[in-house]
Amino acid sequence: MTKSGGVLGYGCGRLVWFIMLLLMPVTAVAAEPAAAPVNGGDEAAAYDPWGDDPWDDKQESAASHQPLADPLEPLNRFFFVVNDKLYVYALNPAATVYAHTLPADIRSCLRSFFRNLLAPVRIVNHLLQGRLADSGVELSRLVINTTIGVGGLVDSASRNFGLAQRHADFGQTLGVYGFGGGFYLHWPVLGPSSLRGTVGMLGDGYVSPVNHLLADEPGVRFALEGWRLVNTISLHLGEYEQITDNAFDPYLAIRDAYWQYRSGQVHGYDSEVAPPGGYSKRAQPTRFAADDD
Amino acid sequence: MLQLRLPTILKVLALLSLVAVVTAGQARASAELEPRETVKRAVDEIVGILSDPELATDEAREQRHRLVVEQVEKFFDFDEISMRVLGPRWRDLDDEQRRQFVELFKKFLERNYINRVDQYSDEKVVVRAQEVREDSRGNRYARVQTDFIIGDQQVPVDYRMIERDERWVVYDVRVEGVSLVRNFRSQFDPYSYGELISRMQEQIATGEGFELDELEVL
Repeated sequence: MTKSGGVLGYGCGRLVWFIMLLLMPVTAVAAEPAAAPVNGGDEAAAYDPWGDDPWDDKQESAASHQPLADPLEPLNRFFFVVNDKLYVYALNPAATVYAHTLPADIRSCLRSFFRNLLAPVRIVNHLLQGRLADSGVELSRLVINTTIGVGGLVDSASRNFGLAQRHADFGQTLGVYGFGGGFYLHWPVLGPSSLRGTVGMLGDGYVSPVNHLLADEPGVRFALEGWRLVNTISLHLGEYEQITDNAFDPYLAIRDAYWQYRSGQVHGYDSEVAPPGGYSKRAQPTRFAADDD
Repeated sequence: MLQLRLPTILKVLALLSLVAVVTAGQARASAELEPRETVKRAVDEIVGILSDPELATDEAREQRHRLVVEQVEKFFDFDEISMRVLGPRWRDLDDEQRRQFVELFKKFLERNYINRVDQYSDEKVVVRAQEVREDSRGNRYARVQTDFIIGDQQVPVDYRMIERDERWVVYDVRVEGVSLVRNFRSQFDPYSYGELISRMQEQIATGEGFELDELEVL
């Protein structure tokens, strides 16, 4: 984080484009359809559970189910273990103490504050994705929350104006532009990502106002980011253990969940179910307010 | 910009487990019920158990768990789910192996998820739309949209169902677009049948998860 924080600020534009160039051929390779399972035997002729569900007939849906390659699995697993130790021995204890120090309401306000700080990232990405309405919503949110919401501490836009946060990030933007994920990367501290996601993080770091305001204060920026991390974890205590204890292979569980989730953000949930009587399309996969932490 | 994405992913996975428990309440599915009604009833049923003050005490913990497990045992379509999490290699297994896997997987899920029952804290479920489709072989599939209201968060949860013997059973649950079956499938895929069995047996017996230290590191 700290390290990436340093990289993220400035002078990374060239790096971003270099990585994007790298990404393209990889994308092409990764986009080759996975070998279809051999449809052997007619035993299941009457019923084929692996034909998956009947809603997967849309092209986006097929795209969203592209598997993510993991050529660096041993390294990724190594960092998975490193992060696990980091969480168990440092972050979790710190967040637990922190949670006892500050009431949940205040931590919730701080979360809103950090989210509000990053609104420009979402505004820019909505624009890049051509989602003008969402961009407008995020802009309104920024104005409302910064003023009425006391500098972003209160998500007044959500509470009083019904304007929920609409997620957007540069990794998602690249996905919308047709870039594949490349391959899986499990970063130290940062956790699950992909090549595309990593480029996205770098790109968003470019836009992040925090990085601009505190360009000359890497120490302060680091402290701020550390604070945000501990604050976030303090609002999700116990969830990590829940997963790692219950998964069959936690590394694979998290890798897959990450990719399914990110694919959903890019391709939509594929769930525009018409209700009895019919109603407008379901909200885009943007309404999950906590998608950035 | 610090973005620890882990919590989001974890939340999704944690929810999957909660949902799996709630799904168990598939329970009172009966012949005439539409998929949507089936889910509605199931949710009411389970929320009823979980918010029953008489069952909320520590002493009633066992009973509470048993009630939920009963639902699971009786109405959760583990055959269907097992088939899907194993993928095409299901075809290569003989009947005995299939039975063994289904039983073990069921136990594995129960052991891992049953404690979620104790963490229930007034989550609300809003059942929304349903859609039913029929494939060329006449199998009827449904998906039912719900929203889990957890604190100030609204999380979309989709149930995938199939009509079996004139009642609707759940074969997959998707939280935020993350499919439970797909998630297990990707965990199981790299392991041989023998490894799956022995590892699940081990985890059930020891009550411990995957030992991180045993991972081959570099």
